[in-house]
Amino acid sequence: MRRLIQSLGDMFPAFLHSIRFRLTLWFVCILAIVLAGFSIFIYWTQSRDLRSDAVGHLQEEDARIQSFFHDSEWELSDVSPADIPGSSVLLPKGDLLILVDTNGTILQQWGQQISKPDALITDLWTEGGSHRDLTIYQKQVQVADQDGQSASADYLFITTPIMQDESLRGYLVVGSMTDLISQQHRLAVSLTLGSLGMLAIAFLGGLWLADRAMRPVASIALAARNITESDLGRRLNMRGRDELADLAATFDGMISRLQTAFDRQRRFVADASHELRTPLTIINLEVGRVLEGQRPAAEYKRALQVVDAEGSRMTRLVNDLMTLARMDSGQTILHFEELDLSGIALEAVGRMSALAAQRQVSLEPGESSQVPVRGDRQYLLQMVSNLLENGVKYCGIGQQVRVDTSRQGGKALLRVSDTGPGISPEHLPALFDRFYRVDQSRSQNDDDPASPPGSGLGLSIVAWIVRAHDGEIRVQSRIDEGTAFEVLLPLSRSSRVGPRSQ
Amino acid sequence: MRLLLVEDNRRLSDALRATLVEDGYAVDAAYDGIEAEELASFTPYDLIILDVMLPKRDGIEVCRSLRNQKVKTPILMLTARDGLDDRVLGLDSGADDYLVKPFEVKELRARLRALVRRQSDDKSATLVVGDLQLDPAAHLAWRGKMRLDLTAKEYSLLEYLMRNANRLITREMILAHLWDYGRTTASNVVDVHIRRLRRKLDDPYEVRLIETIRGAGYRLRDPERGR
Repeated sequence: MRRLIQSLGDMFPAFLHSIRFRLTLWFVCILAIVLAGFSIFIYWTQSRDLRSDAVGHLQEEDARIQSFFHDSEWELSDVSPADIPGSSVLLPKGDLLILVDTNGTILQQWGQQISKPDALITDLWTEGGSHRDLTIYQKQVQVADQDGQSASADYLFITTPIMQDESLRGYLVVGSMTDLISQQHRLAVSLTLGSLGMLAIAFLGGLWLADRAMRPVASIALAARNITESDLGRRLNMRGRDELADLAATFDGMISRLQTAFDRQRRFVADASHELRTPLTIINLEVGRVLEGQRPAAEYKRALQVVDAEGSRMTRLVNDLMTLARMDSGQTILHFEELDLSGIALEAVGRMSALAAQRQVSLEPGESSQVPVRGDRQYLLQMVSNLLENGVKYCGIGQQVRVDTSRQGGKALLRVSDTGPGISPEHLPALFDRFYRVDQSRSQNDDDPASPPGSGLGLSIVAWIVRAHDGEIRVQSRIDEGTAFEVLLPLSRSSRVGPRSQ
Repeated sequence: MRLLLVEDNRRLSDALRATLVEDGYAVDAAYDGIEAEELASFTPYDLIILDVMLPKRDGIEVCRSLRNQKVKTPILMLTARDGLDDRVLGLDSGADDYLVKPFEVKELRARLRALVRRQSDDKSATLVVGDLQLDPAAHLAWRGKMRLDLTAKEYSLLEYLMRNANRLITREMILAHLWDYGRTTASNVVDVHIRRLRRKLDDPYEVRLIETIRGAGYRLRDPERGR
């Protein structure tokens, strides 16, 4: 029982906060205002019509009686109903006639008898003030019905002055029983009940409509909840051309982008772990092997050399991974300064010359005119070094790698070319992908323990650095002829102004 | 024990091979899927170590194809992937066991021993023939109470003979199971090793266990069963 109450309590606030409830509530509120205005208008016009009907009836009666007083000779106190021609017609049942003198004293009273007529006159007098003319009063008075029982009834009264020969003789009060108030009351009740009924129907109908309109939202929410990291392949695939289909399509698009990002990330992690597992396995094997039993010193040394090589391979890999991770997360801060690209190229050649000499590859700076660029010194140096290292490693003995810098079409051009084996065209598009290796069985160089380890990330890092400098990178390659990487960077602005001002 | 090692990374392959050779295995190395399949389909290997990520044809495909060719050699898969799906895929393709890189040497050895044991009729961890005892886990052999001081090759030869006790073993069988394709072997290499083994195993004792069957080969005789 308690659980039921609790679940209701949990459900209820959720319902109160739901869009369909709030939407319905707003809708009902607006409808209520419209209905209230409409009802007030109806009530007002209807009661005016009812009243004018009743008043018209009374005025007619009053006019007839007045005409009698005008036309004949009489004393107020003497006049009796019988004197008035057609008095039976004149005073329908329930109506009453009171003659008052100028002081307000009742002289005659015909028709329906009411209790306390003096009080009534006083009331009429006080309400009407000094104008005892054709004002209509509505009053509730006590009347005696057929059984002599006293009952209250609604009356309309009209007071008219009685003139004879231009002088005021008294007043005539004509009262007519009316059901104006009860009619008004009935009207008000039916309008109110009708409005409330309509509001109730509108509320339920609105709730139903809103529920219908919101049902796709619930299905979208359910579907979205079911789409997890592991099955990003699922889509909502909502048909239609309405706003919700639009929302669902937007959502599907977002999931697609997420899926792409997740897949890329997953592949990257898988590749990274694969790259790290291999050297770790080798270290485990070598260490495990030589630690068993006594061995000659040379064997320990050889094992340590293997461990050392694998260690540096892993160090390089981890460093490159960290560099890329920082780049990906936007934590890399570039310190831009005015630089000469040819100077950077020369410095990179200096860095790589030992490696080139070891691998017997000729590495030389070619054409190197001064090319001013704005960039981060460290990163540009890394970019050129990575390109040179890549060239040196894929070149055989006696082949050459060169780097040229020049200006081309208002841009700074850095070109690293080699006479190596070249890259076949199908590999070119994926060349800058992480861990992409042209030779699927891994380059022979990579397996050569003497060669510095490549992480498979060098060109990805190059591509990032080029992008970060608003540049672009192109690669051209022919099998057996060589490969050329071309990096285009924006020329530094100060340099473009420089030559012109001279 | 003759073993095919399929691993495309030469550095890792070399390191694995060095370890396995020291353990007395005759190791042939293959560096891609096609080479592996060719070697495995016409050589009677006792074990295959198969990397999953291979150039030309991946390990899963190689494994499936070998099983389709009715090659029943136990296969230990090596992989860098350790997701459940990867493991299931590996085992479903017909591999007998699955080892995730990086691994310890001890674990590799234990898995290989377990695979060999699973193949043989005798599921016990130690091999016993007469008063001969051999413990593959410890790499030790005894005759009676005396520990035999054997080289890796002699040990492998003894193990092979013990696993096939009371059966005729030809020189060709010994060559195929204990020597890899790498080195050129002299024609009398089996006889030389048998002679060395006999010197340690039989010469000091009255009952000789290794019999020569003239013109055919050798037999390790279990004296209790033989009688």
